[in-house]
Amino acid sequence: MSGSEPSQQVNSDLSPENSKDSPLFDVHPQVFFTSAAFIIGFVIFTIFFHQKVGDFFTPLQAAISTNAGWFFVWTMNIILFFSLYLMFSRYGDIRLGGDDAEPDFSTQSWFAMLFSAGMGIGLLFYGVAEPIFHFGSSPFPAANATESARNAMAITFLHWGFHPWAVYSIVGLALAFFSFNKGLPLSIRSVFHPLLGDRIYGFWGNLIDILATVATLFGVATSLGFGVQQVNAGLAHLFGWEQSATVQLLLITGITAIATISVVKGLDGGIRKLSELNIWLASGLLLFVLVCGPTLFIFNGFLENIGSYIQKFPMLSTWGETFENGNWQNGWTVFYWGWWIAWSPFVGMFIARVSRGRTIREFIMGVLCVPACVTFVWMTVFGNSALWIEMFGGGGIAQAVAENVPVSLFVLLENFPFSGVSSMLGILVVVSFFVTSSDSGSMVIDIITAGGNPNPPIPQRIFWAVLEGVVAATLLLCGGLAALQSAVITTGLPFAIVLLIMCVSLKKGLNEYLGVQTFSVKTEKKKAEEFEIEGAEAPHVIFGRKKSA
Amino acid sequence: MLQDVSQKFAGGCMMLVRKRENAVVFLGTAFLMHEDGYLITAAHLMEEDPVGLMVVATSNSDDFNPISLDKVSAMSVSVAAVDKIHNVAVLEIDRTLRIKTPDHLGGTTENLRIGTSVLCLGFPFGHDEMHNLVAQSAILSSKVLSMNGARLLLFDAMVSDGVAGAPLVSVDDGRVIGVIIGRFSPVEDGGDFARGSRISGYDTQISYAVSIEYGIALMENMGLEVI
Repeated sequence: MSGSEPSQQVNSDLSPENSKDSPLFDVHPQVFFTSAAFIIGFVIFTIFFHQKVGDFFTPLQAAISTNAGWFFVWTMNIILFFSLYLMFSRYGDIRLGGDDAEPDFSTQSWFAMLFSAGMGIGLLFYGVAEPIFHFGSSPFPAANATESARNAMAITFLHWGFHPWAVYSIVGLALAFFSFNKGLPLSIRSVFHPLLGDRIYGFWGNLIDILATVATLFGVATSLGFGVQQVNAGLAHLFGWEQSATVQLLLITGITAIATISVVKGLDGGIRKLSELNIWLASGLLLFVLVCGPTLFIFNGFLENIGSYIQKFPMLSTWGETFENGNWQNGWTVFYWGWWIAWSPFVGMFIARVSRGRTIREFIMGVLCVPACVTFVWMTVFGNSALWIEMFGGGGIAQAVAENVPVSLFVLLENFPFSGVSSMLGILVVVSFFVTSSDSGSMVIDIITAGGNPNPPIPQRIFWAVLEGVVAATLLLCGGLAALQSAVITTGLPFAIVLLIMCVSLKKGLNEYLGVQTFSVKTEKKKAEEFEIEGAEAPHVIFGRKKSA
Repeated sequence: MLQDVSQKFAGGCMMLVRKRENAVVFLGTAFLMHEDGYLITAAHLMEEDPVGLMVVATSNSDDFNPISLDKVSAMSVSVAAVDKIHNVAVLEIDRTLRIKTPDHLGGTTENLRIGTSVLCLGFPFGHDEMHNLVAQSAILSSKVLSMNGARLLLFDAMVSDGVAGAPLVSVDDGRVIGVIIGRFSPVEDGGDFARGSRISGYDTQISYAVSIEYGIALMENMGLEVI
């Protein structure tokens, strides 16, 4: 067990093989035990009082959306422009891990991992559902269906595009920089070092890490719980399976088992391989829809969607629903902003873990631009296909979306040939997205509760991966998933404040790093002894071929 | 760049002295390499006697400082590790200090190119009771393997005895690449005396340092991480 200060192993070899020499447990006692106790206690409380928890957090979430929506809009834009500023500024040349650092993973593997962790299952379901929602019920009523479709895609791009990835890039960058370049533990507390100094090793640092651990575990667990309900709904639609707790429990067990094996095998042996598999499967599904769907409509639409997004970007990203005096934004944009921010400690930490050796410019290009562009491709393929069916085809997608969002993906696929095969592929992609979110979430919690050790011992990895599944299963059986999800999303507001402070801290840290750093030696209260100083004959050494040195 | 590197390391360079009754006697230079109070110096300065070693931190080198100090505040250090073969030692300050070190202290000599600008920072005339930190710039003149396989860095500066134990810093990346030992002479007997056309070791304009990797290896063996 380490002491109260987090271990300082972050700059050691990050290969997963290191874990072979690790002890059985290497925990940060305050963070590990407090987080575990809080999680277990809160879950038990939620089981018995989920109505009360829901009654507390659901109105709180609504109140936050209503009263702090403007703050989320400001925060997301500040974060986006700050990340662009870092990319184009002199800071862009700083290499994470120092000038000699080499990337731990190939660029392809890196993209696969950060995309799989950053965009979970929602991409699959909302790729179809969200454009249809906005098409049917737009906050900007258009004169005709064409303009409604354009607006729908632009709003979808806004919610899934540069803003969320900017949040991930800033959190990931701050963590990677302070860990790899400043030698601090790979932990959320470390990003506040320029502001808090060594106090990050005390109460406030522990509190920050405990909050991040709890939010990450609850976030992943509630997603897992809701996700299996959606998978079950999909399976019921496809194969007529019953929608029951037993099936859902079996699904949770299966997903948790695969995620646990992946986490135990480590970053390179498990998570990387599963992420790559995930990307291959998702690409397969994407290509299928592209080829079998309205190919020309998709190709035409891709550039037009991007153009529409760029044109409307200033308006959409700053829109606060002021003059409409409505609350559409609370359920969509503000909800998304809170959601991305609440997930940012988890995704940011994971991205940081896999990004050693990249320059800041490469990092932001990789985390902000590439996944956002891939998301645009995905949204265009699925969203435009759904819109095409709705506008020019047989319709039915809007009805499916209204009835059951997860089923809408399969309803879409039924419009194309080989729907049995493509639906199975869809299920596989859904499961693989789950597993990659679950294993990376466990890995993040492992690292934080091990005091920043990037290669925590295997028993700890098993503990957190299994706990994630147990929490999801328990809440699913006993109720409380919705209450807990509301609780997670409400953490978006404090994290938004934390994010802004993080930007200040990161800027300060980068300035110090690029500026001239000096030694500072301060004595404690007791002054050093004073002596007279004398000269003497020098103990000289002059090199000769027979001398030892 | 020379100014930046000089500014970066000035606060970490200290006079190495030995306590003799109520006074301290100047031995050479030592420099901080770890925030827990570990310094590196040349092992020969201690003359195999670890007793009474102390270090003296000096004031801001950018100010005009008196040429000689009557009294100095000295802190006891103990010898944490020695590599006599490569003439490097690690010292540990015995008292608790709050030390902040710059990032990226330890360099590598692997890919160093001849002609690289280097800087030495030490107390060249400490033996003659001048206690000012002095910066000397040079270029890396050669990389030499000694008869016992030690990696030596030759540079074109005439260092004085008081600079022994000081850091040799690469100006390009601002990292320590060597521990300065003294003047270099190619002759077999050490070249203390001139003979005929052969110059004395004291007259050569080339000095040398041992590779910093030996010092870093000593620290890593102690479980310290040098970044």
